[in-house]
Formats: sequence, C-alpha cells, structure tokens
Amino acid sequence: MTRRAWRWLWDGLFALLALIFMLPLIWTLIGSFRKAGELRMEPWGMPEALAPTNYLAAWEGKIGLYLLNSTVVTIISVAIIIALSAPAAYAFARLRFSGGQLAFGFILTGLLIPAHAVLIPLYQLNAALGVGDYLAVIGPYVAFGLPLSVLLLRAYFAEIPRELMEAAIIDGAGHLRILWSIFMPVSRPAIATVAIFQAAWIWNELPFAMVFIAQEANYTIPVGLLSFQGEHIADWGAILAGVVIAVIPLMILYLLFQKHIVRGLTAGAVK
Amino acid sequence: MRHRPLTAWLLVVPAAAVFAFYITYPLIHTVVLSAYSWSALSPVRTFRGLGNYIELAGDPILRTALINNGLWILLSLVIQLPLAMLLAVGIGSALRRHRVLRTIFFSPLIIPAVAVGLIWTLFYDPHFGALNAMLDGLGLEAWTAGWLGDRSLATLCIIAVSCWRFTGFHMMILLAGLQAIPDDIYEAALIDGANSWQTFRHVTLPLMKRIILVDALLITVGSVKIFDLIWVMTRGGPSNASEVLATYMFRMAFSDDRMGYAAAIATVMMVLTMIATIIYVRLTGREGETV
Repeated sequence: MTRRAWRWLWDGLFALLALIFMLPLIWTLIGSFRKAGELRMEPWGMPEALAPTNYLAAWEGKIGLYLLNSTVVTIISVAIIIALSAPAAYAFARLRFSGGQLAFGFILTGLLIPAHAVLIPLYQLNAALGVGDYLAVIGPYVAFGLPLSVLLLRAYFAEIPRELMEAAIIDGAGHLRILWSIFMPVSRPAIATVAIFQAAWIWNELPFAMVFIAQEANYTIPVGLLSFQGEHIADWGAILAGVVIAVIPLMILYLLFQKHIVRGLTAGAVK
Repeated sequence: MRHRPLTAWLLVVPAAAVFAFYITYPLIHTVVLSAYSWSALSPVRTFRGLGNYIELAGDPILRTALINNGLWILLSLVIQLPLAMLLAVGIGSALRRHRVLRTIFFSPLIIPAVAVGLIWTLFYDPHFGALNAMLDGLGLEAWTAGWLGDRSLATLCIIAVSCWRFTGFHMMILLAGLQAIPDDIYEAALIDGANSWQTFRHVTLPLMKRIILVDALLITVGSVKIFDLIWVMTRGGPSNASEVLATYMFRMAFSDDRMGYAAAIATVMMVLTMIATIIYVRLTGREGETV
C-alpha cells in the first residue's frame, strides 16, 4: 500500500471513530428540540420545528437555579484549591526541607482514595457542625482537588528557570511575593489545566452532593438533573434539553482553555 | 536558595491541614466505625468487632458486587488502554491536522456523569430507545435486546458507556507521555529503516511503559470506585445484577441506614485500592530497574 493510501485509511478510521463518539451527543441535541411523543415513536427522526418548548420546560423545572448553584460552588472551590495548592506546590518544587517529600507523598495519597471511603464520617461531621449546604460540599471538593493540583503545579513550577527568580531575590522579595508575581503568571497553562480538571470534576460530582446537600434550592446540576428526571420521567425532550443546558458552561470553558491543557499536562508527565 | 524550613512548612501546612481534616481523618474514622452496628438516626452504637466483615463474607450481593468490580477493571483495561493508545498515536500523526477530532474524543468527559447516564438510559430504552431502533433500521433485529433491563447485559452496557466517556481522558494522558519522547529518537529509528509498526513496537511502547502503567492504575482505581453511571442508569439493578461496591455501600448507608455495615464495605473498597496501588508500584519499580 502506498503512503497516501495509508493516510486515507488512517483518516477514515478516525473519522468513523469520531462519528461513533459524537452520535449520542448529536442525538441528544436533536432530541432536545423534539416532542416527547415523536421522540419515542421514532427515535432517529428530525424535529418538526425548531421550537424551544423543551428548554422552557427545563428552565421552569429549576435547571436555571441548579446551574447557578453549581457555578457558585465550582468557582469558590476551584479558587480555594488553587490558593491552597500553589504555595504548597511552590514549596515542594523549590524549597528543600526535611519532611517535604513525606508531606508531598501524604497529599498524593488522595489521588487514589475513593469518595465513598470518607462519605459516612463527613456526613456525620457536616451534621455535627451544622454547616450550610454549600459549605458542606465545598470542604470535601477542595480536599479532593488538592492532590492533582499540587502534583501538576509542582511539576510545572520545577521547570521554571532560576534566572526568573534571581532579580526578585536580590530585591529581597519573600516566597509568597515570588510565587504571586513571578510563578503564577508564568504558569498560566498549568493553572488553566488544574482549573479545568477541577471544574469538570466538581461540576459533575454526584455522591457528596447527593448526601450533603439537604435543600432542593441548593441542588447542584447532577443532583438537580436526577430530581428533574424523576419529575419528568416520560418527557424525554425536556430531559434532553436539561442535559444540554447542564453541559454548555463546561463546554465553553473547555473550548476556551483547551490549547493549554496538553501543555499543562506534559510538564507533569516528564517527571 | 537559602531559607528556613519553617517558611517552607508555612506554605505547605494549609493544604496539608485541609487534606488531613477532610480525607485522612475521616478515612481512619471509617475503619473504626466499621466495627460497630449503628443507625444515623440514633446515638446508640453497638460494638460488633469483626461482625460486619463476617457478615460481608457470606453476603451474596457483596459477591456479585466484587465480581462486577472485577469485570469493570478487566474490560476497562482491555478496551480503554488500546483504544486510547490508538487515538493518542493517531493524534501524533493523522489527527495533528484535525484539532476538532481531539475535542470530539475528549468531549464526553466534560459532560456530567448524570447527564451521560440519562442520555444513555434513553438510548438503551428497550421499547422506545434509539439503539434498538437503529438495529431495526440496519436489519439487525436479532441483536435488539432489553439492555439495561437484562440481568446479564446491564453491567456490560454501563461499561460500554464508561469506555465511551473515559477513553478520551486516557488518550490525553498517553498523549502527554507521547509528546515527552524526543523527536531525534524517531529520526534515528527512521534512519535505521524501521517502519511505523516497528517504531511503535520497539521505540514508542518501551519508552511509554511507565505512563501506561500509571494510566492502568488510574483505570483500575477508577473501576474500584465506579458509582455515578451505575447509580443513574440502574441503581445497581435489575435485582442487584449491576451492583458494585460503591452502589451497595451507598444503599446500605443512606437507604437501609446500616451505617456500620456500609463503613465495612467502604473499608473493603479502600483495601482493594491499596492492593492495586501496591501491585502497580511494584511493577513500575521493577521496570525502573531494567530500563
């Protein structure tokens, strides 16, 4: 076979795979504009008209409120994760101190711990502290977000050339100052990677949200979608519209930052 | 740089403290709680010693859950790793020209697991679902099935969705490893007259052994703690057929209010995760010696 033929075959294979990957999503998008009856009669049909009826139904079903809750919880959690993990990553990457490796390893264990392993004690803790629904989930989200953030940021910080720091050191700047005004701006790809991975995880998280969020008014997207499905079990169009609304914010975030993601990950992979 | 250890610790302590408070301490607490029989509604706790574990050993649902978790690990490794590798290598060559495709393969990960579960539940629906309709349309009526409602198919159906969702993520991880291989090694292989397959087999694969093992560990641990998709699509049913440790633990704790028993299941999950980690650490360690 010629090189050209191989290339066609290769491209064709990927196009086919991509189509298979996209099929359920395309179906979801089309279905979100169709009436429940049509959708069930003929799952692969096209919408009769591009009417936003289902979207209005989903919005009335409080999807808008869940969206707001998820946004608040996600933004606060990601901000705290970065605020806590950046100084730690800086210390692990740049300062040699006794016990440093041990502390790093200690935090990394979190990459492997299942949420279910801490679910019951945290459920008790939240009940005992009587914290509100937002706080009850933000605490565990931050804690579970730390390991990956520390890992990725440390790898990136370790590769920043010393020369960048020297001027600041001569000026007598402290570590926090160096971190804030030199490391953070240079590390934008790594921070973007961390932010998008954490945001995607928090936005999607189910078990903590299901157990810790008591009031329906505070539901995040995953719990909200489940309860919405429970109330509209036969209205497939509305369910699909709710799904589309739930997906849009993260899709936008991902498309904005995707060029950073591979770069941010690569630094971590070399080490 | 000269510094005092105290400064370094001040930078580390906030993160470490939050981590210890929300993860390490509760983890130990779970193990302690698994020795008791208790309800969330009452302050009374009865010490049972190993009673919960003895009961677990004879629990048929736990056995189903363990078998299903094993199936999850096995099939996820066998399907996702090679497919992710194919995509990663493809992006290194063919897909470099098509950035859109990379986005497509990664996109299922961005969608909330609950949304993914809802979409596929409708997709698999035995009466009105798009999958059976598609099979009918293609003349494959014999292949139509009850999917999630079928005891022997439910777990396989959900594993398929999980592969659809996570392969793009593993592609990204392998891609990162692939890009860390210096170009001159490939040039050397080309000069030696190696074809694409030989280059992949004798250059790319050995150099990526470490990251492949790390990724395999992620897949394994992810399969031990898998929860969301199953909870949304079948709740572990029909009649426990798709039950895994996490769904069973969740039901015992928050539906049946058997907190001690649930804590014991959570401890089993923890132990399995630890065993998997130790195995992979051993494997990577041995690789490190030979390379």
